[in-house]
Amino acid sequence: MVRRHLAPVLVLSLALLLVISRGSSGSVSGNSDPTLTFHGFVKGPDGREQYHIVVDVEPTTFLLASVASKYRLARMRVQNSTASPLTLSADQDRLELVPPSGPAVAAILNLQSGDSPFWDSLTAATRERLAYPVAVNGTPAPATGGPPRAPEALYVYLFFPQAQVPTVPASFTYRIASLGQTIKLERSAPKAS
Amino acid sequence: MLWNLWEAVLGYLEKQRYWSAIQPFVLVGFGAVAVEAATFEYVRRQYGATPPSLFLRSYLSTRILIVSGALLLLMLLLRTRQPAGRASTSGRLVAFLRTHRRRIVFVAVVTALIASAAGLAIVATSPSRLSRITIRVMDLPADVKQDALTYLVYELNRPQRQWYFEIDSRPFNELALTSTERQQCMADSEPTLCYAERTAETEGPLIALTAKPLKDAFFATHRGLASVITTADVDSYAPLTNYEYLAYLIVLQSVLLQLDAHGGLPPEAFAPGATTSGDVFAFVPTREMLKASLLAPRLSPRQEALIFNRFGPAYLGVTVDLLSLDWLYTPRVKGNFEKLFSVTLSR
Repeated sequence: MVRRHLAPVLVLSLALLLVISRGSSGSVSGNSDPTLTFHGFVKGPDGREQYHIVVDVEPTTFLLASVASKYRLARMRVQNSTASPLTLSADQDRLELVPPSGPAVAAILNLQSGDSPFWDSLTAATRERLAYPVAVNGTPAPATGGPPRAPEALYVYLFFPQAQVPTVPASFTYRIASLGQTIKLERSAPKAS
Repeated sequence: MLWNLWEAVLGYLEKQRYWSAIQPFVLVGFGAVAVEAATFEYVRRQYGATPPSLFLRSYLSTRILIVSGALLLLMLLLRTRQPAGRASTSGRLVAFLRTHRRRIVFVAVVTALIASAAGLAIVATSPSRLSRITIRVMDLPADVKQDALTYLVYELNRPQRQWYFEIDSRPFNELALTSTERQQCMADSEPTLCYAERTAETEGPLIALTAKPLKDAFFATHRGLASVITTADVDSYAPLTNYEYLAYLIVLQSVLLQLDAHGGLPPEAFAPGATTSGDVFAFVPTREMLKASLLAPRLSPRQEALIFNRFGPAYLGVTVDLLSLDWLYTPRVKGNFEKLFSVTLSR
């Protein structure tokens, strides 16, 4: 008797387990986006967003892929909604990956001096794309009564020593010297797709 | 007098037994000399005094010599005894082709070879230009708007096909250089020019614009495939705007880039001296004199001849037009600057 009902019970239990596990992801359609997105903001005195920093990490790619067998690579978007350019400095700014446990790991923002043999082996066009930028342009003010302008943004590539990053990050901290403050980038709620 | 001398020489040759043998060659030679003289005269009248030695080294003279040489060679090849009668029927034509088949193939092949060699020689000695020049905006002064500068560059491209400019507004990033390049540039007497040179190695001829002062020049500096123009000394050419100044210097630096890439600058170019006559390639002894050069730019006859011989008459015409800045003060361009960019040009 017990044996006769064992199979349906097992199937129902598995189905329930799947439903529960999917339910915890918050997804509606079932195709949850595996990308981990970390956001950091700087707001002005009026509460308006001035700078918005986003780092996207796709865990599988992040852990499996490496650059020159030495670095884990992540991409960061820096968005500037103010009218003034945001000055960046590879030597004075600092970005750190905070793992779930253990010490934070700093990204190498200046590979030209940090790993010149690797950097020099890249083509000029690649170096141009990967070099830590010097500034993010300001966003022009909208015309009087006009809609707000789309903010200026650019991407920054972050290189982390592979050996020091065995797992996906829990958060990031980003210090921009010209702003004089450190921004914490934390995971946003998982997105439904 | 020369004509009399030529007639006397011709009269003497006509009496010689070998005249019939050399007559075609003499005529081609005479034709070549006549074309050289006519072309030289045209150049002289159109573009002012041109030293004969300069013209004889020009691509025009070389082309005439190449074509004449090819004609002489062909004549030498074709100087064979012709068949007694002309084939007027298809049967005779077929018989003629059969009889002279090998000769016809030989003549055709050698003619093709000579024509190809002449064509290659003409291409090799023809003036060539750097058709694309990148303008890299390193940083701009506060009074220069990116959109207005872009419009200025497009207007430079619009009326001519001799060269065209591309504008690259990415901020210059020293970190994009290799570590070796960075070290070299930091040790260079003019680091900005060194950065521009390194960029030009991969991106091609480049004019960098900066608002920062240069170490050894008030306005611009040039080396190899790169030039740097600075707006740091704006007070020297005020009330001329930075747009007028940049338009003039971009054209001038383009000519320098092209001359340097094809045979070098004239020896007297930018040679330091106490006097100047407003030549665009002249050294500007004091910074206050640049404004006068912008208002009345001038290519000396020798410089005109040099540019003509190296790049051709069309290029020379474009250069003179663009340097004059007349295109910038046309109602259309001036009006666009005022209405759409809120920029008022000085003239």
